[in-house]
Amino acid sequence: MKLLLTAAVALALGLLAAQAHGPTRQKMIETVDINKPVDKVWALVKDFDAIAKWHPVIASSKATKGNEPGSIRTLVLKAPGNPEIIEQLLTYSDADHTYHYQIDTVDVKVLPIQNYSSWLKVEDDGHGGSMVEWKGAYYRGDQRNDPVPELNDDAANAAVKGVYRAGLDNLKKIAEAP
Amino acid sequence: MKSAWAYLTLALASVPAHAGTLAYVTEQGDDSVAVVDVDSWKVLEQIKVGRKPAGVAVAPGATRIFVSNPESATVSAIARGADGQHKVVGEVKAGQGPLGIAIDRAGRQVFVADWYNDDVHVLDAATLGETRVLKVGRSPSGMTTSPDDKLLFVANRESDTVSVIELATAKTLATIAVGKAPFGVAYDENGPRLWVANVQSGDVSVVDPVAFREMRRVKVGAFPYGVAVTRDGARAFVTNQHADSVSVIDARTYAPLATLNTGAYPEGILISPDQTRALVACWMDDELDAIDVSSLKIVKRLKLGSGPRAFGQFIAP
Repeated sequence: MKLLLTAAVALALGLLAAQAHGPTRQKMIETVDINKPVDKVWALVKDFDAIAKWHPVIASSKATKGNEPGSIRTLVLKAPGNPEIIEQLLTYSDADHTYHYQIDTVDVKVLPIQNYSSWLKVEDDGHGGSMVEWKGAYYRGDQRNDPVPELNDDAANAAVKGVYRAGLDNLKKIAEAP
Repeated sequence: MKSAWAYLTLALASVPAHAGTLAYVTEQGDDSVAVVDVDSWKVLEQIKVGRKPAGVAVAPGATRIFVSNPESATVSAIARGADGQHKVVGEVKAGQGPLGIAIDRAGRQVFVADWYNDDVHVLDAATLGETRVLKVGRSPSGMTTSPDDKLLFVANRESDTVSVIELATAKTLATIAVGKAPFGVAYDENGPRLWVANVQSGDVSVVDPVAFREMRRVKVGAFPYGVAVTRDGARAFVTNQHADSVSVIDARTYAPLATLNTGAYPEGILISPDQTRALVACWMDDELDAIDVSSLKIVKRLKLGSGPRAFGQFIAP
């Protein structure tokens, strides 16, 4: 899948404008409505090591300690060279249908961000269905005052949005499949 | 001849509107500062400032509020008039990456930490004119003065140190090694002690601000960012950005007392002047949480604009 490379391609074409300012933490929130009850949807995503089952660009996602905070999961991406992202579970609540994790290690060429953490949450929509929210906090890949274009705020946001949309849209497809 | 009661009534009538406690919370995503009435627990106003405001320093008496705007590389000054109205009265350039901001106890000097140039710009609080530039460690962030305004303490995030600057001479008296990536600081007159949140080592350094040495480290949650201590030195509260929580420490024994789940990505934290609440800006969830200092429960949550940070003294000291 070329999802993670979307930003890089746009940059190669010089589509994203350069910015000259200090790094500001970026926020991305994406949601999807799913026509299935919250318990059913939570069952699909609740395991920290299950992301490969519902995210289309992740080939595998083994975790060291399951859903225990501190558990380390290794994502192997379906991209040339099978790049890896190392993530750590920070908080986990089965009752609230949510977990929070951070990226410990990633090459900015794979995902142009730094100091990234993210929350996944499944909520009852009040009408028998559910809403899945995926949100992230992160900085651009280049912390200098004049970031190179492929590592600026726009590049970081485009990449994170792409990851979230691909995952959420595919999750909806899987959950609603007859 | 007027009675004492009449004089008292007159005095009360001249007190500015909203004389209660006001909190000034930077809303990074909205380029604004929310004015929160802590007593009625309402947002009174949203004041537009520079781009992506983060740091804030409120002058004694809340007559002036200073805000750092990292994306415009400026500091905005807001004045609060006798009628209680707020007005932006100035915006000046301050280095290349202003983030941390503090004001001395006398309300005369504003300190602005420049993340990129590793120095602190000193501004005249009345005119916003730059009076001095102080050299510090790498990526300076949280700052506070000593109660007598003689010393300035600066956390240097990328040097893992705290600089101690003598303000009369602009000399660095000491560079104190602390934990990894120190960020928020709080001066505590009990001891006295300087509390420093170390983002990357997940702990808090307790520093002797007289002998200039680290006394101990106290473990907290993931990515501690801000720290606040009650006036009596009994309890310390630390925001853990990556744990969505506040760690409460018995500040006399250093034992952990509680871990409270807050809104996501808690950042700026301060004890209310009446010492009943710890107020926490939660960046990811766009809310201000109020913790009851004695029961250690979250008692109120207030919805704010986008990305509240409140890094600094966001209520008048």
